[in-house]
Amino acid sequence: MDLKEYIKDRAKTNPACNWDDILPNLRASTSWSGKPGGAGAKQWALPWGFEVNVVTYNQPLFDRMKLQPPKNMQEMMETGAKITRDAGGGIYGVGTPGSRSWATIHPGFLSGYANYGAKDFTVSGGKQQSAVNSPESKEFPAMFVKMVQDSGPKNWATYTWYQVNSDLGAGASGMIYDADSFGYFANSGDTKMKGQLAYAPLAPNPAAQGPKSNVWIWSLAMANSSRRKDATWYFMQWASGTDHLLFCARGKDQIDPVRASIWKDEEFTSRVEKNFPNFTKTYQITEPGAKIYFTPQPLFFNVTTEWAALQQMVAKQTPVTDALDKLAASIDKQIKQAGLA
Amino acid sequence: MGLARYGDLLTSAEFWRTVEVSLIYTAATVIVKLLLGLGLGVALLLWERTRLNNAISIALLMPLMTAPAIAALMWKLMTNPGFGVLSWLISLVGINDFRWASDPDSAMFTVVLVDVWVYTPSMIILLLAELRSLPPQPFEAARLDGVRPSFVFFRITVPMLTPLLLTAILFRMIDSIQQFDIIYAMTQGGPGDSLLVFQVRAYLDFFQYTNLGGSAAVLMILWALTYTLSNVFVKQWHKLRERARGYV
Repeated sequence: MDLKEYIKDRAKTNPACNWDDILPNLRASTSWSGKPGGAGAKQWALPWGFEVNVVTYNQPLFDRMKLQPPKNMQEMMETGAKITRDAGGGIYGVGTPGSRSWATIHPGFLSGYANYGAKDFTVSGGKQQSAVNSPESKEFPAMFVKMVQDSGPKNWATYTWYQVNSDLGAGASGMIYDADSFGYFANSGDTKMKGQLAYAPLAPNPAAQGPKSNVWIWSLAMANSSRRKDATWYFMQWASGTDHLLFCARGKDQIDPVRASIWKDEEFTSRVEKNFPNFTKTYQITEPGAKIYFTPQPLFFNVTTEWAALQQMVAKQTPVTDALDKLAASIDKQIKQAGLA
Repeated sequence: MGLARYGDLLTSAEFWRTVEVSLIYTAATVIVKLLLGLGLGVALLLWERTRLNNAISIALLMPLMTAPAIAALMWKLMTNPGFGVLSWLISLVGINDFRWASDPDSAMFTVVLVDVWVYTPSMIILLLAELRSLPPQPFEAARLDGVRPSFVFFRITVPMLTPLLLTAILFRMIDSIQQFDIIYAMTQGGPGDSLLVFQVRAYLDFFQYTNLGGSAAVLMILWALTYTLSNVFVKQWHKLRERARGYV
């Protein structure tokens, strides 16, 4: 249900809930009109946690090979290929998911795609049309496919997000362009690379002003059919409120707080920075461009899963341009069948 | 809606790709399991009962005790091109960079391999039980007449086994055409659409795309196909039974 009526209700909402303290991009990313592309009409959820996509790299390997963390896509392709070619021991360059799932699209791929100014859809007058084969939409996928071919895991087409994480922690990959939490936990858990991973922001497009990161958001929402709406709302306030999230950030490894005030908390930032150098700086550079870059529309899972047509491009079964044209035609057909065209 | 959904399905290239992939998977797994099951069943029958042979028999049955989804994850690890033991083993014979289920060209081979590993033991058990229950007289008579073993196998053993073979084929065929767990756990239907069999397509339609009608239509067609194939096999099985009883 739309939470705006609760957020605005002073009788039911504690000032400590402080809605305006939640990062603006996250507030916007959890609201939607319900119409393709429409934004802002209803607030569907309270953000509770999130993650941004950055480069996390194997510091000892980079030192040994005298490599610098990449600043853009071209550098990432070259650095990744060099690692695969020269690192030895079966270490490959870039860990990125590739299984036939929407989870392949949403981290590094969509972040880079957005950084190149590409969109998944154009929406005009409430009608949507696929834009995955527009000229600007073809540039980044071609580079991404080349990067996976030259420096991705050999089993990329069945490679899931947790393999990205575990390979990074095991020192099997040189770097990842994925959620910052992957690096954080691979760096702090019982892993071979504990304490040896480092972070860097990435703006794949050298002409872009800064990074654009698609984000994953954990949120709290309320069913319209709830018979205990007020009680639910009190719980949601507590769980996403400043006190609780500050507690989580200071002592419970909730590393990407959704509240601006917590990022200014000295205890939190010094703790994170002490254990994970460059983490907060990387975040600060990435956060302004961090939001959900998917166009809000009802066929999310269909479109993103079908985007796994990337698999056919990586396997060199279909040229990138042809595959994206075919993908766009298929998406448009589904949109038409759903009555959205 | 309604019948129109079936019309859409039957005119879509993606659906016919699903039919093609499902039938290839079914044919490949059933044929390989049947041949292996028969071969190993006969081998176990002919082997003397020593401790070693008993241990081998038990080892052959081990995959039956593994849940197919777990087996698929196990094979996913074993076929990992980076550290998988099978990838290492084939590299010893000069096959490097084989990508197993991650390559559209070898994905079908890989899931068929896993299916065969998981389900061949049930075929062995079924056939071995039948082989042990065959009446000894025809075989003794053939031996006294000095008949060649290949003649005995193809002209006596196989015809006597045929009703059971049909039953075994039917069971395995129904299982294979409805396969989900091995394929989904290993590849989620990919790479691309290379392994989007009936059940995986129906699952994705229902649970990921919330296309309930589309999913139901796929499953209804799968049911009709299974029903038809089962009927064909059951009728053949009845004919063979009647022939064996001397009615024909």
